[in-house]
Amino acid sequence: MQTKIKFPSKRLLLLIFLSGVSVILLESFDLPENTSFLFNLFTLLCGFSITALFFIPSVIIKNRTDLDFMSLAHIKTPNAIVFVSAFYCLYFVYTAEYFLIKYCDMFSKKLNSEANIFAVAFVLLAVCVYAAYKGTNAIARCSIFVFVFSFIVFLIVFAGNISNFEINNTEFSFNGQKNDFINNTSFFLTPAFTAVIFSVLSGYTKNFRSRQIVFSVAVTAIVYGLILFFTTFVLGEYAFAQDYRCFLLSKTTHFGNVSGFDSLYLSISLLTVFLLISLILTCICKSTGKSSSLPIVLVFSVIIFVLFICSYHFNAVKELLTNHYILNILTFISAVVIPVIYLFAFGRRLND
Amino acid sequence: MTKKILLILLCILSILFTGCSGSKQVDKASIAETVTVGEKDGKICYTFYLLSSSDTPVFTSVFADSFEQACSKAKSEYIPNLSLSKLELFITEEKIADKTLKSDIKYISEKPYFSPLMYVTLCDENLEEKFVNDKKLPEQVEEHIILLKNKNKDISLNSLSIFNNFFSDSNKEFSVSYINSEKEIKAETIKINAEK
Repeated sequence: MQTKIKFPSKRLLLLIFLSGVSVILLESFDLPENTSFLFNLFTLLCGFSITALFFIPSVIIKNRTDLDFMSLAHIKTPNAIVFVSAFYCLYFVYTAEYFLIKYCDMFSKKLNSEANIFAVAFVLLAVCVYAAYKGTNAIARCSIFVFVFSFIVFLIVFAGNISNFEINNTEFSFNGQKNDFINNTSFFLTPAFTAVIFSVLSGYTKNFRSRQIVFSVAVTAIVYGLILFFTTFVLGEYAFAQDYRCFLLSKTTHFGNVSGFDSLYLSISLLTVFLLISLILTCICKSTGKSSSLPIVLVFSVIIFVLFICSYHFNAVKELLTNHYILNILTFISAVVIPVIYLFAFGRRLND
Repeated sequence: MTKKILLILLCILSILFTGCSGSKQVDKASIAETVTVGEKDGKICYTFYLLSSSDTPVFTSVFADSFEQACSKAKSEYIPNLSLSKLELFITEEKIADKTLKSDIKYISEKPYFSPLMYVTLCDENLEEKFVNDKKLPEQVEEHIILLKNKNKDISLNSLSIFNNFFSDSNKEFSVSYINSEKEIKAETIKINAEK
């Protein structure tokens, strides 16, 4: 079951960071208007603290057995594996659908409203199928380039917005309601799906250290915090006039008379969503017990594409597939509940 | 090495392709660079100054109650390939600013193709007449606005800043730029009330 080819765990952590960042790029970032910066920062810290906790069961499994959760499940419960695999495959289909719809929505609203959205989804899926077929290692190597590129993009966006700062002291109060807390924390918990990716793919990695997870989650949280800071103090009320605040930030970026870096935002969104969906397809492969299988990837890509078409014809389906509360509940079950059951059931016999 | 080069090319191509955002063929598009809002015969008139290679300004005037209405009217009746994504300057005559500016700024802020850094200024009633005859005037106006910005940091010059002043709870009155064209072009500051 366990693959013999292993790559440094830092690469997987890079992928996890980029997947986490893709959430804030693709989401409208719909934080309530009446909440202050400090309140939103507090909910961000809560969301990312819980995200870090989601990694604990799979980190324990990795440290004690050097296996990922899915390999462990195949070895320990060969009779029940079909149910576990089916659940994880469904979860990954849901996650892929969630991000595919979000990306296509963003593409249609910000890039080209006249483009055939099904063709966009088809081409993206086709490229992701190829990447997933090449395996996790190939995707992880891509992540190094995408990481460098995204680092430059974020540097440009943040540096180009410094001159637009308008510090408003009222934002430093602590305003927010209970419902806002639940909504914001749930939004900042969305990157927790990376814990499930880690639990399924960590078996491919070597030289893993637990602190790498803390570092990866912390860096993602810092990027979110910076985006939150800039949207509050550069965009102000303007942030609520449109959706996709990162897009607005890229539009307000300027160095002297050179302005409008929105194409950088659009390209980084494309690259991160490509990595993310490719990674999810390899997770599906891994969940079925194979490290890389073109027929399996193809079958699930077709399912994802059919669901995508349905979501654009039936609004109820779209709402169901893009609900971050549902995604978080499914993430909690996949990243925490099921691995913890295995840990309790085979706690002392994990290495047998 | 080939794979690395391919990946770098992929990154570069993804930027180039996404540069097609809101694209229109350059030879067919009518790219508006400046919009002035004035009053003619008691009606509000929006004038779109288009990018062209001719020596005299190319413009189209549209009578409408708001910028939103003017844009849709211009696209449907006068300039079918109108592109507003390169709009740099939005000038409103001071005497009608109370009627139109707030709603126009709101409309501009809601549409993703407008740049939030677009200069928005008020002007006297003579400026529009000069705009019609002098192609280089918008450029001069921008230069004066930039000079004013260097002198006065508290002034709101772009649609982002003006929107925030109009729609935030704290501001009742704020400063914007005002183009005085009585003798020669000169940028000054003027205070406007956010609640109007």
